[in-house]
Amino acid sequence: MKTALAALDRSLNRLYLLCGVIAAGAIIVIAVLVALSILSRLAGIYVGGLTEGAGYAMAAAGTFGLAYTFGAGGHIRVDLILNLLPHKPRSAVELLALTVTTGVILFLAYYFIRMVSISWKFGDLSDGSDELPLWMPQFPAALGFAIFALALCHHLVRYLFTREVTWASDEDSLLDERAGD
Amino acid sequence: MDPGTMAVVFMVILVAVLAPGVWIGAALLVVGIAAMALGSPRPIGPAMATTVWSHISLWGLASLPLFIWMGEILCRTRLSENLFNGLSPLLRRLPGGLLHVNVAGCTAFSAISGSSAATLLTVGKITMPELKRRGYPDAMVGGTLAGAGTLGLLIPPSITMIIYGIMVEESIARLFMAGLLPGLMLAGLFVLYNMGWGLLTSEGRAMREAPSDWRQKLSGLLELFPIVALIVGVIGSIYTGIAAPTEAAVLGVAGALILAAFQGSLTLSTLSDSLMGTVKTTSMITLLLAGSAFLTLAMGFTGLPRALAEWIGAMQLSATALIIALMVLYMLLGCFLDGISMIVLTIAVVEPLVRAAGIDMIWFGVFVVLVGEMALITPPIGFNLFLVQGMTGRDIGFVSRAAAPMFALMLLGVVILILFPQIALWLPEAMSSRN
Repeated sequence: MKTALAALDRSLNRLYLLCGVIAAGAIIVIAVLVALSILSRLAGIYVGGLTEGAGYAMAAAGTFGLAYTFGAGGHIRVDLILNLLPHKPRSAVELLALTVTTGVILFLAYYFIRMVSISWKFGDLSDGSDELPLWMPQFPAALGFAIFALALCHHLVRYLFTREVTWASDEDSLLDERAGD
Repeated sequence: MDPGTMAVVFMVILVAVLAPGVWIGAALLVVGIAAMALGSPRPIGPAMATTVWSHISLWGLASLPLFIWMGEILCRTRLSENLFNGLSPLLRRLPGGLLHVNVAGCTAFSAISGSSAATLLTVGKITMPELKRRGYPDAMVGGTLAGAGTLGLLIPPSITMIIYGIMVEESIARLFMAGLLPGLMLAGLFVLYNMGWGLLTSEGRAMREAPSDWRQKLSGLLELFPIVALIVGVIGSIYTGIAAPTEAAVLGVAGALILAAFQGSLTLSTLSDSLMGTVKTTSMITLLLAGSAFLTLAMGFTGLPRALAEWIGAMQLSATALIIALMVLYMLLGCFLDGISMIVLTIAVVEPLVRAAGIDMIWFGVFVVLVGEMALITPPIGFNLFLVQGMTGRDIGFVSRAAAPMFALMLLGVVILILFPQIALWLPEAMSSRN
């Protein structure tokens, strides 16, 4: 049982890292799409959809990285009071903060998926020159939010059992990271 | 519910979710849900999903990861050595000596990086040990670095300005133009402060550096060439109207990659580190924007911002009095939040207020970013203080005191900006009438 849980924990963490790598790929896609739009304009050729494409890649990059960023301590919050508290109450407040965050992100992820399924059912098209069915660019963002919600549930359950903070505060991680340069 | 009660209820909810450490983007979503539940019969979830989608998939937003990536690549090159070797022979003879390298280095790096943390760390990485070795006092080295490190917010390209521009739907290119002169003015104030220290204190008078000859100056200029070329390429292409900020950002990424390749620092590991660093900042901002976009929508449904704007209007406050009130509010918030969080937290209410008072939104952008800069060096939570603390090993009280004169100078900068709004508005006007 214990080893099975540890294996699940490890594979979930690998999933978040993989999503982070996909987000990095999406950032390269943004750069390529914007570069293409500059080049096509210089060449005098009109290529539709590049502008919208960069926006869609932006949404994918921003959402796919959410879970990875959380684990790396990249999201910001006010931790002044948390840092002042002694160990015991701190852990209760930490739990409260994590529960509220998890709840509201689950809410967002649920309605995001619902929005994609509605776009799909009704065949909504983008307003832009790409005229793409809207569910196609929306789907990666919905998946990104869903995986973020999953990651928060995962952190929450793990915290309940181990009381180990697995999301370092951002200034610590930033300093550690840069100190290695 | 009358607007006054409503405002109090939302404030209480906001503090109740922020204080225990709910992540800020999620906290904004919670307040938005409460606002919609109280102020509108519409279904909440679908409104949240569509608003979030439309605000995180914008083309203008795509400039953000690109500028972040550019900075992440450059801070892994030998650019900070180039800056030091280039600026030192040009500036060290001035009273205040090598402290000017802190200011000029941060100013120059601000113009190729959108983030103040990247600016501070890149410049401090080389100036901090060098200046300490030469015996400059920690308070001056740490203080000027913390202060000048905030310039990354004001001098274009600036992540904070991109976020502000997207939230209030103003031109990011114009904001980038408006931020330049106030940024340089602030740098000028820091330079004057260094010179004052060098001339007026006995400690400062003792720190005179050896003059440099023409050969050293010339080789210094050569070292600065790649940085100057990047600045001119990126900012110049925006100012002349050749490229939109998103397009200029791609030029910047390309330039940074070429520079890194030339210096031999473009390895697979630096490339992947720079990308993963970019992912972290991009996702952090995406969550903030998602929360802020929904909160703005929900606040609109409650009618609170409009009521507040009318209330302020009925008080016959002058625009200046409103600005001063907002400045005090932002300075208080700045003790606990960073500039970006401050903007996304307040914009839903503040934007209608400021528009109703007839204040130029481009000018207000510069103002709010400048006040946001001050938040970086105000204790107990000031990001630049933490960074300098980490670099000097001194405690937060010492670093805060060292940065206090910089805070006073920035306050002076805000006052000058209020008295002479043309400092921000002249360049965008001149540029747009030319194009």
